Amino acid sequence: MDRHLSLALTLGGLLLWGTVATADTDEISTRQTSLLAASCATCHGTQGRMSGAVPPLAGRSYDVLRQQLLAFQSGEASHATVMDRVVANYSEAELEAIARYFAAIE
Amino acid sequence: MKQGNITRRELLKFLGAAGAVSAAGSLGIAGCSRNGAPAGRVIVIGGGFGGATAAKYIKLFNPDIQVALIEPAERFYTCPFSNLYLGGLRDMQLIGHGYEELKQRYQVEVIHTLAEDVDGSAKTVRLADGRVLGYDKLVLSPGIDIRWDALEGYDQAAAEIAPHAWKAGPQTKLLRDRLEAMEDGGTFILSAPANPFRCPPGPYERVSLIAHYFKQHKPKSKILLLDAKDAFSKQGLFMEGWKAVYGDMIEWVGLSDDGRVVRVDAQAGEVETEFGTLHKADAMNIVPPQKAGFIAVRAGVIDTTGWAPVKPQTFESKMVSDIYVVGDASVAAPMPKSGFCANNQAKVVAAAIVADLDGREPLEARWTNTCYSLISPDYGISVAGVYGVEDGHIVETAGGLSPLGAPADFRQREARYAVNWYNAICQDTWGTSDLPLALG
Repeated sequence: MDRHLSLALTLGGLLLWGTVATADTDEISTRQTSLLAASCATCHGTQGRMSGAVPPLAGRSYDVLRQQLLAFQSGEASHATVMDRVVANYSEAELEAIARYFAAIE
Repeated sequence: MKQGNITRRELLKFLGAAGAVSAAGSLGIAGCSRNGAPAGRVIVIGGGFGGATAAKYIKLFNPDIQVALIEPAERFYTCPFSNLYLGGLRDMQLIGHGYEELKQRYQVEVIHTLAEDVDGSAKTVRLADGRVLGYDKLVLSPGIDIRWDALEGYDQAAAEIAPHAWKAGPQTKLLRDRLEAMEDGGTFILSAPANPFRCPPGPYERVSLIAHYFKQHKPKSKILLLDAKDAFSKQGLFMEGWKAVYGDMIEWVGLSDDGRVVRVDAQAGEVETEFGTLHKADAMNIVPPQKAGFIAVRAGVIDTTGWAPVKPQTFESKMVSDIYVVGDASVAAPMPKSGFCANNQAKVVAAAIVADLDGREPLEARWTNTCYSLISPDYGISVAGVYGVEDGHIVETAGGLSPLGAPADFRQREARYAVNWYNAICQDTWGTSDLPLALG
C-alpha cells in the first residue's frame, strides 16, 4: 500500500489533498482519487462509513475491495444489482486507486 | 498499516499548504486550526442535496476556506422518499434534515434567511435581513420554482386545492390529506409535465406508492396518469411492476393519446387535455412545468430556457464567472435532475473551487447517478448512469436499467438498497445518522 496515502488517511482523514501519485503507472493523484471516491459516498456514506444492506467500504482490505470491484466489472459478481452497471467503464487503475483509498480509512 | 517511519516533514509536504492537520476527530476536521487568513470565502445558496453537499465537501477538501450556507428553512424536507410518506409508509419527520453536522463538525456558517439578490460584478449576496455578504466564489443550488404561467388555471391559489407536492413540505401533507379524504372507488389524477423537470421517475413512483395505499385501504379506486410526453424514465420497468402488483389500477395516457393537460380547474376537480377531453378527479396532483429557482434569475445565470447553462468540467456558470450552479437548476443533460446528481455535482464543484482558490487546474470530472424507484415496499427498480466530459460535453459513459423480468428476490434487494441509498445520501449530505433501515 502507498505509505503516504495510508498515513494521511489514518491521521487526518482529510481527503488528502496531496499530490503523491498512487503506485500505479497511470499515476492517478490522491486528489483525483478523493474526488472519484466521493461518488461512492452517495450510497455508502461519507468516506464509505455507512453500514446496512449496502456494505461499508471504509477500512476493508485493499485486496478484497479490488477483487470485488473487478468482479463487478467482469460480471463474475452474481449478486450484483447495480454495481456492475456503475463500474463498467472505470479503468483498472481507477478501481485500484479507489480500493486503496477506502482500505486506508480507519 | 504502516505508519511508523514517516516524518512530519513528509506529511506536511504531502498535505500541501492547506494541511494544518490534527489527529483529533475521526475526520480530523474538528481539531483543525486555521492559521492566518482564510483561503477564500465561499457562499452557498440553498441547503438541499446540492448546496449542503457543496458546503460540506469544500470544508472536507480544504477546511481553511470560509463557507457560509444560506437556507431559510431550519429543516429541509426531501422530495426523495416523500412518495413513501404519500403511500403511508413513512412519517414526514423522517424526510426532514437539519444542519447540525455542517455547523458543528465542519464549521460552516449556516444562515437561516432568504438570499434576495446577487450582484455578480461586485460579488455580493444580499440577504432578506438586510446584510450584504461578499464572496470569492458563489455556489447556487436553488432547486426549482414552479412556472405559474405555464398551465391555464394553475396558480398558487389552485395549488392549495390541487397540490403539486413537487417541493416537499406543506404541499406534500396537503396531497396526503386529499388522498385520505378520497372515497374508495374514487379517481385520482396525476398530471406529469414534459421534459425537463425535477426527478424524471418521480411521478411514476408517486402513482405506484399511492396505488399501494389504495390497494390496502381503497381498493376500488382508479389512478389516471395524464402525461405531456410519450415516453418516461424506467417506463418498461414501471409498467411491468404496475401490472404485476396493481393489475389495472393505474392507467397511463401519453402525449399522443391526448395525455397533455392544458387547463386545470382545481375548484371543480377537473382537468382538460390538449384535444378538449375533460377528466374529473376526486383527488388531483398537478406536477406543473418548472424552471430554475428564483435566485438563479437574480444572479443572471439563466438563459431563455429558464435553466442555468454551466461549463461541464466545473459547473461554473457560462454567463457569470465565479458563480457555480448545481442540481436541478443547472443544464446538465444527459444527467437527470435528481438529488443524487446534485450531490455528485456538488463534489465536483467543491473540488473545482478548492483547486481554483489554490491556483490549480480543475480535476477530471466524473459523476454517478443511481436512482431507485419503489413500485411497492418490496419491489424496487433502478437506473444508473456514470458521466464524464468528452469534447466539451457531458456524456454518459456507462449505466443502464435493472433488468425486466427479474425474480422477486432481485426486486426485493433493490427495494432494500433504495432505503439504504436514502439513508446514505442523507448522511452524506446533512449528516443524518438515525434513519430506519425498514421502510415503514
